[in-house]
Amino acid sequence: MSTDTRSVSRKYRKRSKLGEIWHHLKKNKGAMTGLGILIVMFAVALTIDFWLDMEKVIGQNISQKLQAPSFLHWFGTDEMGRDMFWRVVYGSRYSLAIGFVAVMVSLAVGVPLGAVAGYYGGKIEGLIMRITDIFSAIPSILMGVVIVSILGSSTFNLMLAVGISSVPNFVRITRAAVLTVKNEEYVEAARALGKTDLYIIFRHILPNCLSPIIVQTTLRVASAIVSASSLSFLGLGIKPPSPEWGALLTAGKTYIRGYSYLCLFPGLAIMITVLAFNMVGDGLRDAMDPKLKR
Amino acid sequence: MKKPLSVVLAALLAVSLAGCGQSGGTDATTAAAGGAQEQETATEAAGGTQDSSEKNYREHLTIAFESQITEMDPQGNGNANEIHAKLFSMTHDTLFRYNVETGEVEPNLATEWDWLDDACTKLHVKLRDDVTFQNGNPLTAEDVAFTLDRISSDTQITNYYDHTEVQGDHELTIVLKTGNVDFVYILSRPFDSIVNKAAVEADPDFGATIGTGAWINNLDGYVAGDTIELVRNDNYWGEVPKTKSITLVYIANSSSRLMALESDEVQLIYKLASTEIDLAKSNSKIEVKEFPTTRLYYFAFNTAAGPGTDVNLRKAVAYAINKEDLIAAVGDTGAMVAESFYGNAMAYLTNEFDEKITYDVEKAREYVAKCGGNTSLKLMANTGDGIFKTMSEVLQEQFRQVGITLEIEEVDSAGISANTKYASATHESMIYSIGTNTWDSDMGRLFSVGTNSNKAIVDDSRISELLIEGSACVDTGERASYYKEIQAINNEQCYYVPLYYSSTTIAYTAGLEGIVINPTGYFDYSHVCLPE
Amino acid sequence: MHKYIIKRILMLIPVTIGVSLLVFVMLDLAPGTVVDIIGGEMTTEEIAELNHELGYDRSVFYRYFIYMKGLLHGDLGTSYIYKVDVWKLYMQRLPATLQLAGASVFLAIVLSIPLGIKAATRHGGVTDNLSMVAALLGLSMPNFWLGMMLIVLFSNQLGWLPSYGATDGFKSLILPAFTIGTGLMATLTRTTRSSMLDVLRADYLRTARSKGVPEKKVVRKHALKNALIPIITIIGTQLGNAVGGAVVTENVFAWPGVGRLIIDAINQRDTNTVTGCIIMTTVMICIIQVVVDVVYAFVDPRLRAQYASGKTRRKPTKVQGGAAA
Repeated sequence: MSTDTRSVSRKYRKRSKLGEIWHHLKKNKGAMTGLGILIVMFAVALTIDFWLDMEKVIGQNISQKLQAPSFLHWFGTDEMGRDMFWRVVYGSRYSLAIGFVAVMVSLAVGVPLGAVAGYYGGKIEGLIMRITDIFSAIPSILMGVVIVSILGSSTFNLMLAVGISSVPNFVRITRAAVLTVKNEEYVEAARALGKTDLYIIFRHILPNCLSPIIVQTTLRVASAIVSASSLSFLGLGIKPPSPEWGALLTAGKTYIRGYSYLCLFPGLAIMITVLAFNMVGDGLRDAMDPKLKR
Repeated sequence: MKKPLSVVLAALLAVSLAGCGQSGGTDATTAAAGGAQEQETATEAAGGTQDSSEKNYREHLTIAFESQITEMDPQGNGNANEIHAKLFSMTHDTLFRYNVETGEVEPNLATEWDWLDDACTKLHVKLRDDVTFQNGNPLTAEDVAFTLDRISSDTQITNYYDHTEVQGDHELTIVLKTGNVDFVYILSRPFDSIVNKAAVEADPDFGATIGTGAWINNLDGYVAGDTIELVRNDNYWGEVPKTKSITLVYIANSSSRLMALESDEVQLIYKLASTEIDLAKSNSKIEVKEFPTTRLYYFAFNTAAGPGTDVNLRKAVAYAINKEDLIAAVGDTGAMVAESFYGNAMAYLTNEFDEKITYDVEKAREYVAKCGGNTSLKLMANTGDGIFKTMSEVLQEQFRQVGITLEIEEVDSAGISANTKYASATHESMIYSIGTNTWDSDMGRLFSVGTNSNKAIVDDSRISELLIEGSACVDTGERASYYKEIQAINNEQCYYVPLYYSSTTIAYTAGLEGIVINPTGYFDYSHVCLPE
Repeated sequence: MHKYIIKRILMLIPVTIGVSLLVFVMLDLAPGTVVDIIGGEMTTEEIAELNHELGYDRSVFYRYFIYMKGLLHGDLGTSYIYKVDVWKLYMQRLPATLQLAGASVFLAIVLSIPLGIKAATRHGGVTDNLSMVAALLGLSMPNFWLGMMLIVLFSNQLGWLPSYGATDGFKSLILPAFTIGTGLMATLTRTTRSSMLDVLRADYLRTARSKGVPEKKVVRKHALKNALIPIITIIGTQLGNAVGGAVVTENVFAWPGVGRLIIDAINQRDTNTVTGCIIMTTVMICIIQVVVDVVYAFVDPRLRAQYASGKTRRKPTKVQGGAAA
């Protein structure tokens, strides 16, 4: 019977909390702008295969190469005569996918590790945190080189490389959050009831640590997009002719003198996307963290 | 490091005030070895220094390189490339000097030489007796023998060289195990520069940086992988340079190189991006020189395993490639289409084949039809290099037009070397380039069984036979027939598909003089100077 | 206090062992070895000999063991590519990296802290909104892109600043320092603002105000001091990141720092150089953390007491803001 009331009360609390967050978020102009941008981008990225002829994205026309932005080619054309506008638009697919999958990878690895470290403490914590230290000492580019070279160069492997290098972040954040709740009464109570550790971690502790993790996730999607484009920039990337933004920037690097639009537009695209994620992330944090309420 | 730069800036100001931004008709580059060997003795060289006091030259120059100099020892590992050649031709000297204009080798440290036998296995050489190393030791035949003996990482030498017989201080005989008429040419490469035996034995790490050249390595200013400081060798046996010191810096990005040149932070750069050439030309403070090179870009199949074993697929690919479009996409305006897989500066280049392969979609489709459905191919490319990245994408599209699916495998340069070794190659096909030399036996590198630069993993017994006969053959007519047959076999078999010979550019502060250009990339910057 | 410092230093040992092992194994898994890079024109026997000499005919653990044996004697190994002691290589590049790190952090401190304070004291005002928008933009720009655009503008179009290298002293520092500093400035402005906001609402400040202490003094004397801890944390973290070398920025500006050395070494599979440099970076980061902790102790006597009691370090305050690095 007691279990029933608890679950009911939790459900109620949860719903109201979600509603409250949305209420706060709605009032935040920045966050709503960001959300708007993201919704449009997602809509484009998800549907683009249905309404855009791939020929427009990868079809080469050498005689039309390196045209400045014009009415016909809004963002100009690249060295193979491909329309930069459609390449940038199509590239949103890759960049968004990379951002999300990479963060999912780091979430899936980082959160359980951080939770275990925070919950058990002692030697286990020491071990996990030292391994985390070790991994964060490895430059992400080395991680990228190795993962891409062992598993081959593909979009997913790039995601994996970016994801693994931000695992330490999630481990630390989760651990810190778990530490703050692990001695709360309801955890003690669950322990007293003889629940397994796994059950306690997943049913009681993690749900109460969600807000820093969610905020971190949105912010990390942003930085994952930047990291992926940095890796591309240093020469590790996605198979051609896929127009990932970092790859477009790298290709445009050679032409920066005289054809700077080749770098300008993909760069702006990255910036706007990252900005949108950051705005939403900020908004979420303000909405979730009562301390920062104005 | 700050001081010379302020001098440079002051100098620039003086120049622009005097209103002589652009030099008149003087051509800063000389296509052949400059005045160095005309001035035979050290006393005349001193005259050269006097000459410089009449005309003022900028004391310090900076030259930007596009890749790293990792090795200052001419015989060190992994340095047989154009970048290192430029350093060694400044700090060291070779026995012979290759004259780009005449195509002949000329005396340098060696005064005379002759083959003692018809099979070209014994080369008798006499040395100059007035040359000293930068540490003060005189140059002797012992040093030459020591240098040749220590070359271990270069198959072009080790495949032929056996030992050296020293005959007195300035006379020696080089004995080869396999005859090679071209050996004198091979020894004109900067990697075969002579080092001082005593210096290397005293300091195994940096002793070999001491040469007989016009420039001395200032090891105090050396930042590994970034900066090399050179100071003029006032005791040089040839013409002493007019510039006092030169810094070589590594700037990987071509735009950054050009920008550094525009702001006079550096005075000489190599390799402009194709799109920057016009930009650089429009700047009156900069002079730009475009010239063809002997670098051959090619497409190679792995002919030992995988889809590349099918000659029909190889031919389909050869017909499917539109080389003009490829060149246009890469943006190399001065590039020349390669019709035969052969060096363009070599004597016996030919394009007279029974079946002339040109871009022909219909023919390509015919061959594709003969492949029996196996029309997908993996292409390994170092996509960290923009040229290969562009090329791989253009090829992918051209192949798609004829029904061949090309999957691009991206690797970095270490990955390419590791995956395409002769004994353990894993690639199906690749795009690559090679700086061909001017002598015909150099093609052996691309066809010899077991050699890692044989990227098509060619094992053709007839070609191997022809290579051996060709290198030891003195009769030019006979030699020509051997080397032409090699080209004909490759044309028929399409082991390699030749793409194009690239062109390149140098750009420098207007008025700069004394650059010796060589299409092989072995430039000599020893006498670079900037009159004020 | 020194008990704590010793503990931190002892903790370096397992991390160093782990990091170097990881680097060795990772470089072993990557295709190609340094022998492939330098052995281009070698004969098969020569390559075999070189492989033997460098231990590439044995397992990666053998090579690791040899390396660690050297490390015990304080030897970071010799670069296969440059034939120079890795220690020497590292020390050649460190000054440039430190300059850049110092300059960018200095830039951020000088600009961001006053801006953050102003934004907090005029909460909701124009300065606040503008600086927060600017900070968000700063966080969202990819470093290398910003660097390239700055080069185009300031070196090419305007010709004011040099575009590459560290040859022109202060002038050549400006663009790269600004490029790296942007992200840091953004994070620091946000952190300063939010921790000032927290503190400004605290009760003891209300008391101070009610006692008639002028607002300026409230901010400077009381609020800032208490808001310092998270600010120091951020600076420490960023300095730590920067000491490892800002890989991408150093690449864009051809800056002769540690980051570029590590990248070049990775591309050339120069295991000793990569490992040596990463170990040194780990050590440097540890030193910075210790320094940061000592600074905490100065700022906050409560923390000093904690160290003295020998407890492990507790992260003082949760770090705010900071997405894109």
